[in-house]
Amino acid sequence: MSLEHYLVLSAIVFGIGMIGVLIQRNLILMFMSIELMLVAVNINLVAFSKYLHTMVGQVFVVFIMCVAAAEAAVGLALILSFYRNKETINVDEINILRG
Amino acid sequence: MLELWILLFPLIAIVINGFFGKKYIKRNAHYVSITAVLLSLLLSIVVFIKVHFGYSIDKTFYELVIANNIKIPFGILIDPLTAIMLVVVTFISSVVHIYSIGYMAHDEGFHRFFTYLSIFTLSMLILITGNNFLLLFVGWELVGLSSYLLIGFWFHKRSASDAGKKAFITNRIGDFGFYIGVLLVLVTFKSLNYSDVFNIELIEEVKHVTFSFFGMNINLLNFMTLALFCGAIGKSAQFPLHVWLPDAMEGPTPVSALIHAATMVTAGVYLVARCNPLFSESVVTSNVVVIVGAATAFLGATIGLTQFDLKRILAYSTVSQLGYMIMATGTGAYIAGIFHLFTHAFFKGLLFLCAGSVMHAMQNNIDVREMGGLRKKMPITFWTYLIACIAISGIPPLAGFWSKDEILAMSFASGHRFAWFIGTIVAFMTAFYMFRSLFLVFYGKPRNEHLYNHAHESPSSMTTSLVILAFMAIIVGPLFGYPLENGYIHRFLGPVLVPGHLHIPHLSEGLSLFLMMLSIFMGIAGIALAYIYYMVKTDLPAKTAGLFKPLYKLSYNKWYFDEIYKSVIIDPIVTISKFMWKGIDVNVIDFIVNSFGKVAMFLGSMFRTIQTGRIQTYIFTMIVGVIVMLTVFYSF
Repeated sequence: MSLEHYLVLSAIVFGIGMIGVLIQRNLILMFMSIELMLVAVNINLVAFSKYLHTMVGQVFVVFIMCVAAAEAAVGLALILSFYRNKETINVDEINILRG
Repeated sequence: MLELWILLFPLIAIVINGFFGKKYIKRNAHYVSITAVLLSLLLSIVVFIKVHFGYSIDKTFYELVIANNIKIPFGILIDPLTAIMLVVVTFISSVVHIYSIGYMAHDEGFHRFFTYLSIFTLSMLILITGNNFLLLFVGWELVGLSSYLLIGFWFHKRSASDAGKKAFITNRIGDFGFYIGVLLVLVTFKSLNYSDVFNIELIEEVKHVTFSFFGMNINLLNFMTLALFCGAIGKSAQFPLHVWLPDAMEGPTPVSALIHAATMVTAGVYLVARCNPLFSESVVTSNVVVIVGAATAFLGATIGLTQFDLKRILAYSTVSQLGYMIMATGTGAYIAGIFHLFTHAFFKGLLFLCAGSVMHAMQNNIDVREMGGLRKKMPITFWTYLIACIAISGIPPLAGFWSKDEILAMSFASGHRFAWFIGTIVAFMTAFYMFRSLFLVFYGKPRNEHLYNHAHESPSSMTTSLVILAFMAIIVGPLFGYPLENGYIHRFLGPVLVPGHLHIPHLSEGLSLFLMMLSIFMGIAGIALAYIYYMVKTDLPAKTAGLFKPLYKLSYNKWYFDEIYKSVIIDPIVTISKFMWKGIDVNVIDFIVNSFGKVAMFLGSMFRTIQTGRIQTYIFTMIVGVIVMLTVFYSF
């Protein structure tokens, strides 16, 4: 498999994630879509790492996974506390900053 | 440094009472303040004795150099003039402190009162011990501040807080002149230290310097001394800035005693006496000083004749007596002026404390028409008041006679016959109105049965103070003034207060005796007239008032000074201020500022719709933005 295959896969996953963020109204699903976008980036990095014969990209992937895990914890905590206050996780109802 | 501790003790008391008074010391505040002031008194007496044996000191502790070699010195000067002022201030202050224990016993702000008293004492001590014009000015302003605090002590009372403001603002007018005077001294003599400024050769040099101001040639020395004298006019309640002093009665009575007797009002006299090398060189200023003094003496006395408020009678008598002192300093009789300040401190302090005692007994009523017959109820107050009245009327051998007679004789001898004439008439009026108040308060039938029945002698802390002051009022005259015009006070103050070139011719024995007899006669005549008016034929006052109705009204309404000031100065200022407020401030300045605000609000209302509060809209915008940016960047 050539580099292009990986890149196309990555682009498709990224596109799914992006569209998911845009059209989903459920906070958790939006969150998952964001994770998808991160994964797409990871695929990209690994692909280039193999193509260029260097380990830097893969090391980066490990770091991104760590950060993503931490971010997921914080994000879920935010969503949870939001749910406790509003009894909903529908983003359409999160609009108190409306001008 | 012994002398420095005189200042430090009250300062320590201020710190202790000021910072810990409210929470910890509370009703024990008087122990702190009184200990401090008594220690100061003790040291002052020690200093006085040392000065008697020829001790003097002029020491600068620290000099702050600002620029162009302008030095701001901090130092103290002890000479005979300072020594005598120290004794007066600390003595009267001590007595007032002790008196206040009883007088203020039930007051909410007990510790606050004693803190303020200490501040007042300290300010006055700074004023008199400073060895340069700047420290004099610092003390001067501090005295103004503490008088404001004390006059407005009962600030929840509208009239008291108004009186405090009036005193402060009126003083500020005089202080402005004083400040200009100090700056002129600095510019002319390149120094603020007394020892540098009061240099005969230097003064000779600048004596004829003139400067041009709007095309007029003005003598520098005249202008400088007149500016300094402005300060004295304000502080010593001279015409035309005397209006604040009678209103200062709104403060607690011990404060009135302190202001009128020892601190504050004597500052002006001290200033003129301290600057005698400058003032005596300027003929114009000397004449102005005499005229202002004589006018004030006359003015105060005429108003005092008809007042019914006991404290106001005393206040106008202070105005009048201060006129005497200023008049004396103007004629060149600096010693007589300071001597009168000295004796006046004792009997005027006594009069006010007696008035406080009477008020205490009459449940804070101070209208003499409500009193009467208190002689039996309050024997100590009565006797001490009587002593003070005799003293102020100038009957020998009590204190007032010695100094007043000297002032009159000196003004006659120095050729200011007009001042002498007014002084003699004022002596008559003084005796009359003082005994008028005495007869109204202590003799006759009680005019208000209810108040009379509740009247009682004051507590011992108050009467003790009265007795001490009465004793002093009897002895200080002969002790310091005998023999006349050559007494101890002359030997003591002579070295600092007799400008070498100024020579007041000595009067012949006969003339001197005649003047003395005349001044005694005036006092006795005043007392006799008061006796006839208020003891024998009690319908006479009303008849006389009816006969000279316009004059009576003029005097009763204090020559309409407050009304004139209101319509000439205050009302126009209020009108202009209102125009500035409603015309300029609201319509012009506020309009501009509000316009800026309105433009911002309008823009905001236009752009607010962008802020939807929906996260996904934001994300969408962001993504579109990123795509657009990428396209733009890669296409170049």
